[in-house]
Amino acid sequence: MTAAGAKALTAFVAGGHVENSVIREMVEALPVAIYTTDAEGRLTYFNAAAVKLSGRVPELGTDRWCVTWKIFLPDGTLLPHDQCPMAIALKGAEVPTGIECIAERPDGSRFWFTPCPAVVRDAEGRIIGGINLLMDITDRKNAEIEASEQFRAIIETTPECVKIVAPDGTLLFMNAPGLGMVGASSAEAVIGKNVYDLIAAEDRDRFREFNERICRGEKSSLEFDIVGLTGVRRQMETHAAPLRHVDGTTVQLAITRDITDRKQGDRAALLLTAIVDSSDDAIISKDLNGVITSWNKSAERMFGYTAAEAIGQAVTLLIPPGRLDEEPKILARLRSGERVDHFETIRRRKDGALLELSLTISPVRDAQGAVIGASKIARDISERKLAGRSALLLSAIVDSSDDAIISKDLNGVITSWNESAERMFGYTAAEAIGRPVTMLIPPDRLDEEPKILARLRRGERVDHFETVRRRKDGTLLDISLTISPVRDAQDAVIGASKIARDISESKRVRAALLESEARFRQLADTMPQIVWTARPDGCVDYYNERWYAFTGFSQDAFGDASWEAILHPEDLQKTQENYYAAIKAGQPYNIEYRLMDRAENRWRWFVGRAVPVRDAGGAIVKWFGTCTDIDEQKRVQDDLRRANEDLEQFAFSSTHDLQEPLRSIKIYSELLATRYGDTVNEEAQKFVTFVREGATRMEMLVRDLLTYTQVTKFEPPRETADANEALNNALANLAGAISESGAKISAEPLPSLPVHGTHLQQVFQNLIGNAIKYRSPERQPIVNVGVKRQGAHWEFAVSDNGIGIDPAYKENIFGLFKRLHTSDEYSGTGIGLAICQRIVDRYHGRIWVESESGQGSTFRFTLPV
Amino acid sequence: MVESKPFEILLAEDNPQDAELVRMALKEHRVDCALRVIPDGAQAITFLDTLDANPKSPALDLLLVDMNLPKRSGEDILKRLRSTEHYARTPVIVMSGLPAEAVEEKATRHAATVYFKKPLTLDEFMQLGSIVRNVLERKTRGAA
Repeated sequence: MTAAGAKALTAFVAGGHVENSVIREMVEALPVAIYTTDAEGRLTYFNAAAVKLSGRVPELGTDRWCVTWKIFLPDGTLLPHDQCPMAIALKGAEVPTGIECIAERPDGSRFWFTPCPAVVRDAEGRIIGGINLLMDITDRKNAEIEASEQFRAIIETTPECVKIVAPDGTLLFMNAPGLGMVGASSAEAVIGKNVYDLIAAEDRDRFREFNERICRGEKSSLEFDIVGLTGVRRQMETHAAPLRHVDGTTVQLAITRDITDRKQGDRAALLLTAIVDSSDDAIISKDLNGVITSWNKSAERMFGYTAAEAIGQAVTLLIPPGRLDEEPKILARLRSGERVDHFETIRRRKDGALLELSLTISPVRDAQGAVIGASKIARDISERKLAGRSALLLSAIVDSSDDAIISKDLNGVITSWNESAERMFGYTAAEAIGRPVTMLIPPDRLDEEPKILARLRRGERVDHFETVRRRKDGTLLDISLTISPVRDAQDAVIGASKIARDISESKRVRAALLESEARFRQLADTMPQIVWTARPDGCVDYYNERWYAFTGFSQDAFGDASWEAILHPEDLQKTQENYYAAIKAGQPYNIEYRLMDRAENRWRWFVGRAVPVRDAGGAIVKWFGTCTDIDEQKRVQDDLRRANEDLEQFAFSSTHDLQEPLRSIKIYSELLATRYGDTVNEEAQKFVTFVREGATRMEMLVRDLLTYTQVTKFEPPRETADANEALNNALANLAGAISESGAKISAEPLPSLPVHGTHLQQVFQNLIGNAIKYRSPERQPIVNVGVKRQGAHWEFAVSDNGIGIDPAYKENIFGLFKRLHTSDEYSGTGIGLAICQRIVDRYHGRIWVESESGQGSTFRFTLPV
Repeated sequence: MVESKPFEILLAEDNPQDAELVRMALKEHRVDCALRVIPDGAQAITFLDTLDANPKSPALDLLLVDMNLPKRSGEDILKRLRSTEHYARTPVIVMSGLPAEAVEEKATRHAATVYFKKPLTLDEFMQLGSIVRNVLERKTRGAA
């Protein structure tokens, strides 16, 4: 019953004072509680529904205004009795309609009701009584409260954010999940504050516009990012509706969902799709009936069917008739949850062409783990089959390499590990792969790895990086690392390959080498010569300190060819040719040249010598060379040569100058003897004879001296001389002496040798001449000429049976003008043996005598072969 | 030999003993000549200059020259002779105490007629007279 209806009824009842029994019965039967009062408020009537509602029977004429119930306002405050709606109405005041109150029954139970009090006036308008009609609203109210509680429960238990936002952005309400999303520890942290502050800067304007739109009465949705109080960014999706607020304004009620994870999932799914689509392998999925359910781009390419053509078709579409029995077996294995790995088979393209494939088929499971289908990766191996052999070879090479070959990804995680790596580091492949490469790095070197990784990420290569790594057993290894970035087909760096060489041994060897080299250098630096070493190709790699002191070059400032810069231009070509010829032939080298002496600013003579140093196998490993300053020696030699030349010139001209007066003496003494010999006395004749003898001896002396000085004029012989011929010439010149003395001369067959024939002849002539001259008066002179080979020399021997030589003098006799006898005993100039000595010396030979007084002599001399 | 004016012979020789031997050798072989002896190279060249400048062109039938002379050498004298206007074709006998190989090359270069090595015996030295005689006879025949 409406409030207006109740009022009309009240008026009707009041007008007849409910005396009409029909009406009374009707009112009594009404399910609405009705009572009446007099002007003082004392109850005059109540119906059965009123008793039922209030839970007591009021006393008529005693109880006032209401049925003496305790009445509360909806907020729970007790309403004073004389202020109950009926009492107020009877005072003539207007009672608002539709108010809701709570009444408490005597038993303590409560109910909700809406009073509809009305006053009854007489004709003059005086209040003569009142009627009140109580509508029981308990059920509705309870339903309302229940709904409200449920709503609260919902918004508090929903995982989504529920919020109410004022048109200006003030946050009026936010539930607990919402507080969690924005990182608020309590409602006070955000309620009453501006919600815009929580929106990510780039989305803030969009959100403000959205909020204002909702508050104008629209319903809408929006995705935006928030940045919570703790700074965490989240992606949100909101569904908002306008809500009429208690103050009459329209606000936004929004249910907002955190879609951060879903977004990431979306991205991951997108990425996965992209990967699947960009894969060169065909990736297909099928259900357990063998019906194709997905089909990537490569599958299109490989088999020639588009995704639209393939999806929904039986996978047997791809199987050549002869291999149809494969599919049931594969499906059976999949159903049992097994995986099929690298199954090599043949499939058919849309155009009928056959393909060699490697299939990897994995069961696909639902969230409960049940197999619901299969994913199938098909790789075209038509080409790989060819490449496979080289891949096998490569892997064999990697495994047989003495170097550890390791690959790792950009996080430093080991992804491959060859056999040498196992040997070198002591970890098996199974132990190493998947572990960080830092397990190999000693703690004090851990900072190396980030640097290496940084370089690799930049695409740089690390070459021959010498460092220390740790074996499984903790021992340290000296290794040399070469690390190269590994790139994918798109040239992006995805990891690194690492070649590690154990250099512990070579380090030891190098250390030993350095030590011996240091010793060598120390030694070399103390040498007065320039000492250098060169590589087998002749490139100089070391000079001692003496070189730098001499040249003024700074160490390492000049390269290998620095010696060329200070070499005398006239000597340069010859020296280079000699040097490189020696290097090429592997032969020792010996050459004289001039180097610029920086200190004296002049050229100095040096003799350069080099010898190859060979290893056990005979290969040249080094050249060792010296430059010896021979400038002084050279200068002395030059001086000596000049002095010799001067002396020769002097001897030559003086012998001629001596000859001039000698000739006059000889010729005029002869003239004197022939023209006046008969006219002078005997004594005068004897004097003339002395003059002539003296002149003759002087002539011999001058002649021999001339011969002696001319021996120094020496050029190497152009051809060999026959010693037999030289001997015969000598004997011819001695023919007179031989026949006069009756000497017997014998000779062995003699060789040819590289000397001037005239020199050999002079030696023979002097020695044989002496043998005859110094013959024993007691026996016939016998002279023998013999020869024997002594290594690189011929040793000649001229033996006689003459008077012999006292051993005391055997060294003296080769000196110039040395004579053992007076000219009365034996004529002679004392030059003959000096000439022999001088000739033999010229050929670097030796001459000596073996003799005893009275026993004959053997003169021996050596000449080159 | 045709009887006529004696041959004009110039001897450039610093050694008086050798000059005397030359004179003896010419006499020994009866060479009819007027022998002028000049003892050094410079004087010999001055003499040749004077001779060549003389408008009468006095005769010079033979030059005997020792290669080793004071001041100017025998070679200088030879060179001067060969460059004169009137005596360039005069026969020359070069004399020296040195072995032939040391002198012969120079002698040949200046068209010397004969090289005579001064010998160590009297007989040998006297052969010079015969050589001079032969040269002069050849010259006379050539001129006739």
